[in-house]
Amino acid sequence: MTSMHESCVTEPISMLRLERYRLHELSAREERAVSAHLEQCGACRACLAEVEQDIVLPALPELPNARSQAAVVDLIELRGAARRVRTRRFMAFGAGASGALALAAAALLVLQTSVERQRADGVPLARFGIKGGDVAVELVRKHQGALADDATLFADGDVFKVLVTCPPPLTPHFDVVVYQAGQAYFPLAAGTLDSCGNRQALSGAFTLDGAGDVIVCVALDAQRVPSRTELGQGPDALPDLSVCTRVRSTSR
Amino acid sequence: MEAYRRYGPALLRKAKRMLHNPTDAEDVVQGLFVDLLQGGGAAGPDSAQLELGYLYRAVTHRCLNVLRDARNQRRLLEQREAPALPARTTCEQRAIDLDLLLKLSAQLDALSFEMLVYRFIDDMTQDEIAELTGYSRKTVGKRLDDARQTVLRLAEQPVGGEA
Repeated sequence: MTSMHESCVTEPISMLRLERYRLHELSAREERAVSAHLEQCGACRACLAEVEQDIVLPALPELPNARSQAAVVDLIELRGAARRVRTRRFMAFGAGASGALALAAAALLVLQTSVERQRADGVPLARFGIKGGDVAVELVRKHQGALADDATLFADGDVFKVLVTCPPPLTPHFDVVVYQAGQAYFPLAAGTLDSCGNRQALSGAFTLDGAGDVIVCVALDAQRVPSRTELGQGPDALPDLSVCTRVRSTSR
Repeated sequence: MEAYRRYGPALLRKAKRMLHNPTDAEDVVQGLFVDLLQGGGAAGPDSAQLELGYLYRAVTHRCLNVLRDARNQRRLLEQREAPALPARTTCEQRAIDLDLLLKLSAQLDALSFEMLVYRFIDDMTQDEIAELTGYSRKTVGKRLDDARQTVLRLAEQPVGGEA
């Protein structure tokens, strides 16, 4: 690596152009120009060397049901109008995007599974919120257009909204992670609660599908937005404040 | 996802340059591709639209959002890592370090901030910025002039003119 004070001989080759050079995505003319510059510029050669170093990419979480990327593309290309339904698994809705969901939040038909039914699946018992406790997670379920009062179950395409109870004056950072069949999924945008209180609705909603049981956890951290890389390693990586709930598929 | 394998390393380097934090950088890049994967359609995971420039801008926007969130700033400063790449600019074109970048996030509008990042962190020319963002060279120049004045005011150090 060059020193911090070494300067480019003329105008530096931008990092984007160096990346494209590495990927051979420049035109022949542009590539010749970059090569000519690199021959005389040690600073830019050092940057290219950095760009060419191997880098380990973190594994990308798969969609629920281990749906392959190829299958997703097939659905997009072949099913046309059906793709919205068939491919947008865990599709996140923007805040206020669904009137029905807003009603759902307002209605607060909230269910909470019992602690006894929420063991196993690798999630510590302490992660399951207890009704009346300081921190709890609750799910509102919309099933076939109607609000259902059994958030311990889901059918393909059901829409869920997450409600969190936590003690003020905390304003924790949060992310929602769904564990299914050994995989972690992140259906909503991470964020920060404006304030803690009873049944705070998180922005957006998501759908569930598949045949396996699902653990929905709200990762809460007072210091920082929980890292998806860490959460993807499993429930043991959940921050201390986190809470989970379990829902079962009706299709099995 | 082919686009992730092909462009992920470039985007990860880009995010690290802006955030100086590998964990946050990974989250930004992963989050982008997960959203693309879930969204399907025109910007789906293997869409032809997913060329490097498009993704580069998307990662830039997400990094800027991280930087603009005051709740992230202290942590980023505490956990920052030394930049992997050297500054290649001349003495009058100072590199924008994380401290200054965070100050600028509160001073500049989104577009000027984005263009400043391309110019001073990614070393793009005005022509490259214009091509990437779709704005005219004149607009890019004006935005960079404005941003440069803000940098001067905040840093009280010489900042580069356009080459």
